[in-house]
Amino acid sequence: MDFVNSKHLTLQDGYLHLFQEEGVYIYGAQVTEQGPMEAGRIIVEGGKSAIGKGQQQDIVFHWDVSSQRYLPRPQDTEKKLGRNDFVLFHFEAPIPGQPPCYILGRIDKKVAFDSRSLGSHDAFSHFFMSGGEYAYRLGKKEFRLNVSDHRELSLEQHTKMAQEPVLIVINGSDPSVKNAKLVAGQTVIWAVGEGQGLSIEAYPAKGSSPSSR
Amino acid sequence: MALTLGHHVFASINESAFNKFIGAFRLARPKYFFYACPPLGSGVPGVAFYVIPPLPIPGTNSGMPISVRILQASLDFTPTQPGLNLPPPLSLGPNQFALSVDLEVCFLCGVLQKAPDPAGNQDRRNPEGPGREPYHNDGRIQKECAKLSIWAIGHPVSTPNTHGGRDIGLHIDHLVIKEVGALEALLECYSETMLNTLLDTLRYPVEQFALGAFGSLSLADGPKIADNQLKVWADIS
Amino acid sequence: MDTTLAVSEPGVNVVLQKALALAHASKSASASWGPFEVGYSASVALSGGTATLQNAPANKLDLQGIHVAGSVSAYFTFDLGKILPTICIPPFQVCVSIPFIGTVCTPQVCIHWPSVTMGVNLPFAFNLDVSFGFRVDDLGSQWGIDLLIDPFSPRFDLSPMGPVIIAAIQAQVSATLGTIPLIGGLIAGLVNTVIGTLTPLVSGIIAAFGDLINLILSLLDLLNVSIPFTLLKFDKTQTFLPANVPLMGDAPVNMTLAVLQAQVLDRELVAEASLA
Repeated sequence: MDFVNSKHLTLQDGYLHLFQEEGVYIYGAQVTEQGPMEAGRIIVEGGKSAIGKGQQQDIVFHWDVSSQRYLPRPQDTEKKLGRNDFVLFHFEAPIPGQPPCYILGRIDKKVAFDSRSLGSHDAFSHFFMSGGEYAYRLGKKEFRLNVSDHRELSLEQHTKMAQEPVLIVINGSDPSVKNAKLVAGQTVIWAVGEGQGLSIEAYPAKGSSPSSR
Repeated sequence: MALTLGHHVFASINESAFNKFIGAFRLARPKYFFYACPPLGSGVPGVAFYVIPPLPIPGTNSGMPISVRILQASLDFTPTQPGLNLPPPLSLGPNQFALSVDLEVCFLCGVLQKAPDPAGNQDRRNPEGPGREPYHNDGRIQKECAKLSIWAIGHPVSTPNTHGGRDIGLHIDHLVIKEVGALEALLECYSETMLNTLLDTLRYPVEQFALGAFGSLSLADGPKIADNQLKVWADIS
Repeated sequence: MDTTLAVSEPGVNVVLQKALALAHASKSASASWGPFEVGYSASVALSGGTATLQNAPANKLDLQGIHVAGSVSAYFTFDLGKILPTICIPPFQVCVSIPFIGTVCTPQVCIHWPSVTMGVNLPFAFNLDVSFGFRVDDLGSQWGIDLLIDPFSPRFDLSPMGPVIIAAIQAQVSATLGTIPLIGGLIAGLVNTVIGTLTPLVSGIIAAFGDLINLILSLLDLLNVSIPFTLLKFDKTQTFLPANVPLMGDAPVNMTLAVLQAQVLDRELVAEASLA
């Protein structure tokens, strides 16, 4: 089964943050609390987009073996956005031995965003490689993801399904889809409408038989 | 010419080796070549000589010390070796051996020893009757010895042993003692019994010796005597 | 000579078959060929064969058609990431509209190719012809009639293992890649990439297997060219009559095998000894 944990991002994960306030943000992909912080800057200024109408920008990290830290692409070290634009942080080609990480952003030495603690208008995405019955908790409630093995479908069926991401909107501790059904090869996006300090940490659901690739 | 004759293993021992063996046997166990009452024996009783009871004197519970010593013993496997002149009617035939033994029999005259009373005559003696000491020849003690030359022929034997294998040995069929007059038949009978008893102690498990190198062997043929050798054939199982 | 011992050709065969039944050994090794790490062990057992004796002055024992059988157990470990190109999936852009964020297009995920570990068992069998000379050796408390093998080069062909190895790896890689979604159409090409990397290396791998089998053969006592194999052993001190038989206290009657010599006469192994 896949490792799905918004507190520990892997190649299959993405973390999205909506920038509503102007300012200069320092960001980094952290492996540990003690690691070097600044990997790049995001400058938010101007912009006329309303919430929900902003543009997507991507910041892509890779694991630098020599410095043992995640670095962004050169073009991502300084990113300029307008208000209500959003950034999707994710990873490029895998490097053997690269560890999971989390994305941390600061403004004026204060934490502005943290992938370990999803807040309003943040999102976490995971591309499922392996089938299985996954479960995760929001508040005290458990919710499920039934991920079928892609080999159970025809190529055409599978290709069609893979083109449709599964969107789960969370408000408080209430997801819009309680029991999602998808197939390996599909991406699930958990988007937080209203909420603070959330995380998605999946585990094999009780009564399921874990499978792994 | 092949020796194994269709079997896995052939083993033979030459008469010379057998005579060496007799020498080794004598050296290791001298008592089997010297049977004596203690006054006639020399060395440690039971080791240097085999302790035998005295020759009983009839009418007494005493006996006269005697000894029988094998002075020389040698074997000859067929065919007869030059110089061995077997007295008639002995002749060495196929699968036979000849044995030549020189014995010395001694009596210690003038000495009486207490002898075992096998019939319990002592118990029937009248305690009130006149006591009578055995005859003494005036205190004269004299060792009288006679030498006997014995010739014998025999054949090899094989008998099952307690280990599930077979022992090979030799058995005397006919024995001749010359120049003892009317006692010839008596002494021949006695000597044949004595020598066959001795030969019985020399039986040897055929699976042992060099054949032990093969692990598990079973005697397939023999023992046979020919070409101055004792021969056996065995199969490896 | 005082004693003679002869062993017929069939008798020698029986003795040798007993020795061959005990002749088995195994050994392991490991090495890397390109991205393929291979741990391999081979076991070898001997059986069969027919011994014939060559009379003096040759004094030889020819053992023909020894059946050498065994298997090589090989474990292949390789990181597909070192063989396959980077592939990112899905191959198409996937976007979704989120009311309070906007239109979000999910990233591609570049596949982290897994490592593959797989075992394959490769049986082999071949026949061997060897020739021995005889020698009498003083083994201390024993005499030994020893066989000393003439140098030999076993001929065997392990090349049939090549297709077996390739097929096994092909199947394993196919199964491994099959677990990854959205690359179904690429699997055949990816497997071909792996096999294309492996194929030039297979002959070297099989040669290493052959070297290991040769090494094991040389470790078998019977086939060791530098260490004689003792066919028959005789105690120098032969106990003809054991102690305490027939009477307690009876000393053992021992004789010594002073000299031993052996040769082949009339296609029998004839050993003669003198007693002292």
